[in-house]
Amino acid sequence: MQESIRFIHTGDLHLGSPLKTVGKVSDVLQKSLRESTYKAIENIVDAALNYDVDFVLMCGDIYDNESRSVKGNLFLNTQMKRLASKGIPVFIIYGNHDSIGRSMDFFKLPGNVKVLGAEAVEMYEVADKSGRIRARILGQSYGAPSETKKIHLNYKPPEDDLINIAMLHTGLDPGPNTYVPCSPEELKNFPAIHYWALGHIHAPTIINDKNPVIAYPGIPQGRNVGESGLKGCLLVEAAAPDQMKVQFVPTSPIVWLIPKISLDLYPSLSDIGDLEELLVEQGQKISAAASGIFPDCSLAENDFKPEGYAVRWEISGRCPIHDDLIAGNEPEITETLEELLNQRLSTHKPYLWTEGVKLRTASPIPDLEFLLKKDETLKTLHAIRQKIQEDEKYKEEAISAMGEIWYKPRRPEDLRDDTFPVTAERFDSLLEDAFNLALERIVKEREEQ
Amino acid sequence: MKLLRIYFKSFGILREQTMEEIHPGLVIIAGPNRAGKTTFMTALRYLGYGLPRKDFIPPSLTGQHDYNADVELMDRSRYNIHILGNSKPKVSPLGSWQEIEIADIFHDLDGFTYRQVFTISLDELRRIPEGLAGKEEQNLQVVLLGGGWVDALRLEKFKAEFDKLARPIGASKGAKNVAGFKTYVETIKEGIEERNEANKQSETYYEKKQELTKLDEETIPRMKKDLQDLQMELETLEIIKDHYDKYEKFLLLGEKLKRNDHLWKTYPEGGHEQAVQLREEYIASVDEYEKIFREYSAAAGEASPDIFLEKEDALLGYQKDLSGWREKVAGYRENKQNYLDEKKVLKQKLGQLNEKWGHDLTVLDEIAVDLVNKANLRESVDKYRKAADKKERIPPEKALAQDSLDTKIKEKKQLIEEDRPRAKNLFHLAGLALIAVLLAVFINPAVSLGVGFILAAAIYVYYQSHQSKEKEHKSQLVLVDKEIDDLRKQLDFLTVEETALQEILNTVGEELNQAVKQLKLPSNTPFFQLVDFYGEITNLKERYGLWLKRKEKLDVQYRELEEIFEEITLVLGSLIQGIPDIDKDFSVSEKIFAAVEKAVDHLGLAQELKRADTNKAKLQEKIIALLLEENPELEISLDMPPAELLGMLNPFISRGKRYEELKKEAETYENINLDLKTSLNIEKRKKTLLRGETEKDVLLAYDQHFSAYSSLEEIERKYGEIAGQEEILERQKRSALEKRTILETEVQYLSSDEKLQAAHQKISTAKDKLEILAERYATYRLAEFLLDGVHKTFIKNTKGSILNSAGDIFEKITSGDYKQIDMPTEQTAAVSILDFKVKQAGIENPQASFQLSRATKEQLFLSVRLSRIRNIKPLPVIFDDSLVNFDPAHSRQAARLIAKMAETHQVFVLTCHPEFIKHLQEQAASAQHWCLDNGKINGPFATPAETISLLNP
Repeated sequence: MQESIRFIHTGDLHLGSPLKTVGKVSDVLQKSLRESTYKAIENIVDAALNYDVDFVLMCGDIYDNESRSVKGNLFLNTQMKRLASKGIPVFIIYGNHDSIGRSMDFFKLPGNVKVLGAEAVEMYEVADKSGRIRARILGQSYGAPSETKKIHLNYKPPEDDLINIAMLHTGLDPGPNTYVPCSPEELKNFPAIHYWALGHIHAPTIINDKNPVIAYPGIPQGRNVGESGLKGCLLVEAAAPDQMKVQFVPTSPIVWLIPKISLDLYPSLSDIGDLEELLVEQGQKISAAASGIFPDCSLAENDFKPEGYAVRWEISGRCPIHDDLIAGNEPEITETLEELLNQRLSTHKPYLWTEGVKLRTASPIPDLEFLLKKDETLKTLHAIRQKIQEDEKYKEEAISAMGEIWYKPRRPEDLRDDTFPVTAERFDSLLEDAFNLALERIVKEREEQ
Repeated sequence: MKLLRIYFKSFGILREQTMEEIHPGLVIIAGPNRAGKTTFMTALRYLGYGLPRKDFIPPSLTGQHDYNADVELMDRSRYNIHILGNSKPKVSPLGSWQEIEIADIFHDLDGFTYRQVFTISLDELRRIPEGLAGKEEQNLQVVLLGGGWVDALRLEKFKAEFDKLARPIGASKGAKNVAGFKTYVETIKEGIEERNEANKQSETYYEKKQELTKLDEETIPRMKKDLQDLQMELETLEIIKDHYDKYEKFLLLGEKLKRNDHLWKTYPEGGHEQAVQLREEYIASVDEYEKIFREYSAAAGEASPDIFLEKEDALLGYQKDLSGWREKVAGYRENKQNYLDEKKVLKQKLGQLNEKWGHDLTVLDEIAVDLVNKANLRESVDKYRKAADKKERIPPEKALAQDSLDTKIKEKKQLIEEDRPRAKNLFHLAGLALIAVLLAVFINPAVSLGVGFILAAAIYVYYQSHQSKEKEHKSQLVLVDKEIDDLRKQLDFLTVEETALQEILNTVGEELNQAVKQLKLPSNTPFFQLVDFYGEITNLKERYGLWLKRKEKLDVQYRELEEIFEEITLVLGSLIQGIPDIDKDFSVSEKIFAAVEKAVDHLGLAQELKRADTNKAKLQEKIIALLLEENPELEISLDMPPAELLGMLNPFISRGKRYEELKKEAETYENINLDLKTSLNIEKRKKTLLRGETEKDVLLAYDQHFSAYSSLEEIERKYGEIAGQEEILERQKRSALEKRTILETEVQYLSSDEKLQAAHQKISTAKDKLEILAERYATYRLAEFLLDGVHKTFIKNTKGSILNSAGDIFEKITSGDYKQIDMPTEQTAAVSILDFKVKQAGIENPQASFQLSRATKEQLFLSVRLSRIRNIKPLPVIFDDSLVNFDPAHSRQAARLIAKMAETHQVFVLTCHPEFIKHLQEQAASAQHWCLDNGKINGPFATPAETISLLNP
C-alpha cells in the first residue's frame, strides 16, 4: 500500500485585517488581539511542519484589499521561508480580496511558493517524500476583484491514478455572482477532480466528504463576533483519489463566541451584582472548557489551546430586574458589565475578553400567554407580529420601516461599513424586541389607568 | 351571569354591607356624591379578576379587602365568588354544582375588556374630547372609546412616543447621514479614508524604499567622497597656514647659516667663552704677579727669593717650633730658680734640727734612719711615758687616802656624841603645849579648844621628826665604819703598784737611749721628742733626695736649648744679618726668635711670587693653545709679552661672539626643523600632506604644498574658496542624511500596520456605536409598525358588525334624528384620519363627526358601547352617572335603551340624579332600588321613593 500524501488546505488569511476591538482593552490583551491573525498563520505553518506535510494550499484572499500592509507582506515572507527551509512547496491562488491585478507583494516570495496565474488554469505535479509524483494541483487566481466566469470549467486534469486537487475561490453560489458561479452539485459531478480546495467562505465547512471531497477550511482566525467559533485549517491525508481523510486543525488563538443567557432561567436575580456573578460564572465555564466551538468535522490530534475568548454576551428574558434596574439604563449597565467582566475574566488563562454585552431583557408580564390568547389588543399585536414573520411582503414593509441604515444583503459576504445587513436572525431578534416594547407599553399604560 | 347577593365585609367605605336578592334586571343604586358609588363599581369591576395593587383601589380600612358575591349562571348554576386581598377570585359552587374556573363564569373575557366594555362611567364620557389631537381624530376616538377599545385609542399615542424616541436617532427615515447616526457615519467615513490612506502606504513604502536605497548607495557616498576631498584640501591649507611663519623663518635661517659656513666650521666650540674667561684670568694674573713682586722687594730687598725658598722646610719647621722653644726657655729659667730656692731651705732646716750639723747637706747622707724602726720607737716611747705618768700620780693618791681615813675616824666620833640632847627636847615641847592649853581654857574655852588642837598636832609632828632622825643617825654610823675599812685597803694597794712601775722605767729607758745615738741626736734629747725627731730627719732626708734629682734635670734642659740655638744661628746666618751669640742664661733668645719670624715672612712672599708667576705662565699657554685651535698655522711664542698676547686674543673673542650668535641661530634652525617635523608628522597631518605617498619626507611634502603659493594671503584666499564649497556640500549632505532619516522612519512606519489598525479601530468603534443606534431605531420603528397594524385591525373590526348595530341604537337614542353610522370602506394609508359619518333624518348628505354636538357624541358613544355589549355573552353592566349630559328627551330614550338591555343583562345604574331614576322607573317594567349613603346600603325598595328622597332631602 502506498504511503499517503499529506497537505494543509487553508485560505482567506486576510493578512493585515485586524480583529474588531472596541472599548478599553489592556495592553497585553490588545497585543494578543492584534497579533492573533498573524499568530494563526504561524500556527498553520507550525502545523505544516509538525505534520510533515508534502505541500500547502492557500485558496485565495491571502491578503485583504482593505488591509494591505507591508507588515503582513513581511510576515508572510518569513513564514514561507520557514516552509522553504523544510522543502515544503506552497501553492497560492489569489481571490477577490487580493486579485492578481492588484498585486500586493512588495517582497519577492521565496522559491518554494508558486502563485498560480489569472490568465489560465495552471497545473503542477507534486511528489511525496520519496520523490514519487502523487498528485496534481490545478488552479487559477482572480485577475480582478470579481470573477463572473465559471473558470473551474477549464480544470481538466488527465484521468489517471494521480490525485487531482483543484484550488478554487468561490462562494459556491450557482446564481449570477462575482465569485465564480457554481453549485455543490456541479463540483460533485465534475470529472477527474478528487479534492476541491475551496476558499471564500469563512466558516470551516465540509461540503462533501468524499468522491470528491469539497471543503472550505474557513478563516484561520475569526475577526469579529460574526466569525465565531474555533477557526483553523484542514489537514488532508490522501492515500488514493478515493481515500481521503480530512481533519480540522485549530489555529485561532482567539475564539469569538456569543453566549446567550436567558434570565427567564434565573428569576432570583435581584440586582446587577447578581447578574455580574452569573456572567462571571458562565465566563469561567467557557474559559475552563468551551463547548460548541468546534466545527462539524473531525479534529486532528492536537494539543492546541486558544489564548482566549472574545465574547459578546446576549442577555434576554423577562425578569424583575428589567423594570427595576435595566430599563432606561441599558448603556450604563452594558458599560459597567463590560468593565467588570473584563476586570475579572480578562486575566484568566485562557482569558475571556468581553467584547460587548447586549441587553435584550423585558418586563415580566403575568399571565402573558393568557393575555396573548384572550386580550383583544395583545392578541392582535401578537397576530401582527406573526403576520410579519409569515408574510414576506409584509415583512419587506417592516424592514423598510427599520430605516435606510438597514439593507437586505444579497449574499452573506455583502458587508458594508456604515450600514447594516438585515439577516433573518437579526430581523427576528429586532422584531422580538419591538414586540416586547409595544407589549410592555400597552400593559404599562393600562396599569397606570 | 347575574349577581344574586353581594356581601362587603371590608372594601373601602363599604364595610359589613350586604345586598340580598338582587334584581336580575335593572338595579338602581342612588347615592349622593362621595356615598361610595365608585367603590361599589370598582368592586364589581374586579369581581371576576381580582384586585390589582393599584392606587385607584380604595384602601382597606381593616386588614385586607374582603367581599364576596353569589352569582347565577345561565344554566341556573350558582357559585360564590370571593375576593380576599389581592389574590385571585376564589370560586365555590353553591350546592352541588361542579367546580368551575372564574374565567368560565366571565366567559373567558379578559378583565381589561370587561372593565372597558361593561362599565360605563361619567369619567369615561368626560374624557372623550380630552387628550386627543385633531378633530377628525377625536371623533374616531369616540367610536373606539364607545366600543371599549381604549387600547386602540392609545395606540396612536404610543406610536407617537416611539416616533419621538426614534427621531433623534435616525429622523423620519433612518437614513445613515442624519440625526444621531450622522456623527458615527462621519467617523466611519473618516476611518475609511484613513484606511484607504493606510492601504496606499504599501505603494508609498515601495517608493520610499527605492528612494532610500538610492540615497544610501549613491547620493550620500558620492557627497561623502567629494566632501572628503574638499576637507583634505582644507586641512592641507590649514597645515600650510598654521606652519607658514615658522617655515618661512626656517628657510631664512638656513640661508644665513650657509653664508657663515667658514667661521662655523673653524671656530672652536666653546672658544668664545673660554677666550673671554682666559683673558680675564690672564689680566688678573699679570696684575697679581706685579703686586707681589713689589711687596717682596720692599721686604727682602735685593735678596733672591730663591735663598728663602731653599731653606723653606727649615724655616717652616722653625715657624712651627717657635712657640715650643719660647716655652722651653721660660721653663728652664723657672726650674733653675726653684732649684736655688730649695737648696736654701734645706740648709736652713738642717741647722734647725741640729746646730751641730751646720749647712753641709751631705751630713744627711750619714744618718741611718733605716736602723730605727719607727713603730717600735713609738711604742717604747709611749710605754715609758705611761709608766712615768702613772708612778708620778701614786704619792698624791696615797696622801689623799690617808686624809680621808683620818676624817672618817673623826666623823665617827662626832656621830656618837650628837645622839643624846635630842630625846630631852621632846619632853620639853609636850610640857609647853599643855600649859598653853590650860591658859586658853581659862581665858576663852572656845579658843582653848582650837589652841589645844593645834598644839596636839605640833607635838605629833615633832615626835615623828624625832623618830626619823634617830633612824638616820644609826645608818650613818654603819656607813662610816665601812668607809674607814675601804680606805685602809686602798693605801696598801698603792704602795705595791709604785714599785712595779719603777722597774718598767728602767728597762725602756735603756732602749730609748740606744735610738738617740743611732739618730745622731744629742744625748739629752727627751724621750718623748724622739718620735718627732725621727719624723723630721726622715722628711728632710727625703726632700734632699728630690733636690738632687732636680739638679740633674736642669742640666739636661740646658743642653737641649744650647743645641737648638746653635742650629738656628747657623741657618739664619746666611739669611738675616746681625744674629747675636747665645749665652748661658739664653738672654738673647728673643732676638733670635724675631729673626726666625722675619725669615719666615720673607719666605711667604717668595712663595707667593713663585705661585703668581706659574699661574700667569699657565694661562698664557692656554691662550696660545686656543688661538692655535682656530688657526694652527698661527706664529706665536710662549714668552710673548702680555700686551701682545692680548692683542691677538681680543679679535678671537670678537669672532667668538659672532660664532655664538650663529650657534643660537643654528639651534633655532634645528628646533624649527624638529618642531616642523614633529608637528607635520602627526598622523592626520602627515596623511593629509603625503596624500598616499607614504615613503615621501613629510617636510618635503610640505615644501611642495607651500611652494604652490606665493603668500599667506593667497593661501587664505584659496582656503576661503574651498571652505565655501565645503559648506555648501556639507549642507547638501546633511540634508540628504536628514532625508534618509526621515525616509527610514517613514519606511519603518510604513512597514508597520499601526495606521491601518488605528483606522480599523476607528471604523469598528464607530460602527459598533452606530449599530447600537441602528438597532434602537429599528426597534422603535418596528414597534411603531406593529402598533400601526393593531390600530388598523381595530378600525377594521369596528367598521364591521359593531357599527351596523350601533346605528340602530343611535337612531333609537336620537329618536330617529340620526339613522345610520358609516365609515369609509377604503383602506387609507393613515389610520388617524379615518373618520365616520352619520346620516341625519331629512338631510341627504351624511354629517361628518366634527359637525356633531357633544350630547350627540355621547349618544353615539352609548350606542356603540351598547352595540358592543350585545355582541358579547351577557355579564353585569354598570352605569355610573353616565348620561348626565343628555337632555330630558334623550335621557328618556337612553333610559329606555337601558331598560331594554336589562331584559337580557343585569344592569346596575349608580346615580345621584333623581330625574334619571324617574326616567328609568318610567321605562323599565321592573326595577329594584337601593340607597347608598356614606358606605351604608339600604334596600331593596320596590319604588324609587326612598332613593329620590335620599337624593332630594
